[in-house]
Amino acid sequence: MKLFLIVAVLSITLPLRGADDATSVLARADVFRNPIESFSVDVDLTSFTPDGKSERSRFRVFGKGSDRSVVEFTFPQSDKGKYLLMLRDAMWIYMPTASRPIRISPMQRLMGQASNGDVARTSFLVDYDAKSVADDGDAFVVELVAKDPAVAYNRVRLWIDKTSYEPRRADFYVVSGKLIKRATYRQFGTMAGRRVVTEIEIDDLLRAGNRTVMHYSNLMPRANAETMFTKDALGKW
Amino acid sequence: MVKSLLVAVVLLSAGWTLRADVVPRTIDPAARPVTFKFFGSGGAEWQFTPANAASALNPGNVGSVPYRTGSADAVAFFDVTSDSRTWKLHLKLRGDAAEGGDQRADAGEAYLQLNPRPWLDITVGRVIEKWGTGYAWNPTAFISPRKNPADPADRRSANRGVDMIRADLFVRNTNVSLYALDDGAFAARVYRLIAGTDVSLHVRRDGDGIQQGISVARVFGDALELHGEIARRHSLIGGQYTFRTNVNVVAELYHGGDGLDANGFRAFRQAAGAAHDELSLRAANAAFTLLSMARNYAFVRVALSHDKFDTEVIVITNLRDGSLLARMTLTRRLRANISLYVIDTEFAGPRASELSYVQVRRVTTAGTRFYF
Repeated sequence: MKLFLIVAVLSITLPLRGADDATSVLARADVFRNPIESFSVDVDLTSFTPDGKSERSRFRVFGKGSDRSVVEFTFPQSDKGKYLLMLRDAMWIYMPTASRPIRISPMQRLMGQASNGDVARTSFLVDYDAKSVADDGDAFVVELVAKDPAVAYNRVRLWIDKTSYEPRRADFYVVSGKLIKRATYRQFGTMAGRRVVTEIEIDDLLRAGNRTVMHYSNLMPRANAETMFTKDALGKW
Repeated sequence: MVKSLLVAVVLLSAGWTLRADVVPRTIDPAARPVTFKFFGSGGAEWQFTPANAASALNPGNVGSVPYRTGSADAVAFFDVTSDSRTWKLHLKLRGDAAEGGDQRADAGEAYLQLNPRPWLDITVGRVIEKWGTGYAWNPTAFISPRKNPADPADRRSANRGVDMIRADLFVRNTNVSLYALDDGAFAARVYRLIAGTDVSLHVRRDGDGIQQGISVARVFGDALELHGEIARRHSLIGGQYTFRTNVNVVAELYHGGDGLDANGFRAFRQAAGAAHDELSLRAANAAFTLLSMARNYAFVRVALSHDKFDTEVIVITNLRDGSLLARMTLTRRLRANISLYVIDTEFAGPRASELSYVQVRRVTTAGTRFYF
């Protein structure tokens, strides 16, 4: 019994190192971004430029599992009626004037420094393998490597609070190894009875001073139909 | 111009009012049994079209092409969807008024969609159905409105649907759509995402026979998309690349078998060159269809959004004679719902090339659009 207790205490307190440990740490952190199996959430996005100008967009995100989401554009008025479908890393956009879903790449942006994937993607586990975990003061640093080389960011370094497992910061690297984007998880709150991320700031490190703040609200369980996450249903419902 | 805009809004409102009294307008998002959406835009624009008196189709501006014209339009999209997703009513209403008195109101789309089974949607009414993966042309668009390659996004929402009954079946990650069209034609489309590639098979059967085609699209990496379509006598291949600076480039090559070959165009040139009376000029003008006087064209579009400006440049080239159409659009977003724009379309090419026959030297459009 004493040995069991020692092992148990050590397993909790000793630094985590292996891939399995890294995966479990990542899974615990992902819960703060994607806590419900089938849900809807409102995203308010404000984009700032170095000269102090800002622009706002609003979206409603419908999700199912961790790899399927539909983004409905609700503001500005000129974007109303647009929908974005994301199935893992594949994306389509529907515009009422085009009357058909169009295949797009992750690089095409909704607004500001936020890419389509930043708004639509709600989980790291789907696209990345957690390779290792290290300590950085009171945070774990998890090294994530893309499962598929086609994913927009080849490598991600994710800082996770050691106590709460809340994500704090994520650095996004492209294939060349260059750090191009940083996400800071600025606020957490309780929605739908769960503690979740409520505000993320995205900094464009290629263009200093350009940043985007995404604010989340109205997270709620929603029975999203399977067919909602098919290309041909996009914009029809 | 203001009068034209008012007329367009009134025409649109008339259509709207007819519908508003039969549709519940439930506002409370927490308690509503239906979701109600109403959005659209209205705009007014002026076009400046200096005549191309050097064109053999309009010598000395014999066609009296007006130097300036104005028009206004308003379009509204109206959706009522049951929260149980068992039914949806969709309307696209459009009013249009031109300087000089032409006024028109139309339902571009008006359909009822039912979902009797989780895997089945039934749609009855007028639907704009667009097939294919191409940006400027769609060889597989057997039941779609004809696309203008110089305005592929249909910026004024002028497209009109086809009356149809459509059944959409969602079976094992494959979507099958079956169509019965008002002209007696039948059509079908089968779509599946295969190893990350969009693959669609298209078929239409009518009194003229059967048309078949296939369209594909795939994204490579995080910025490159490639697409293609092929049907009998028509094919297209293209791609789209987005740079990290947010510059988006689309490039396409199109082959249209119903365009004129070299002999056909030579015959057209001879007929146009010999046309000197009204009758022969009319016949020559009737034989001229912009961007259909050859079989092979190239299309390039470069778009950039920066701050409150959106810039788009489209260049379409006739690959046989090198003549080209270049269209530049500059849009300034004044507010979230108001924008101003200027569009300049230039036609260039050697003498007796396709684009040299266009009856105007250029088309310059200035306008404003309000979104609601």
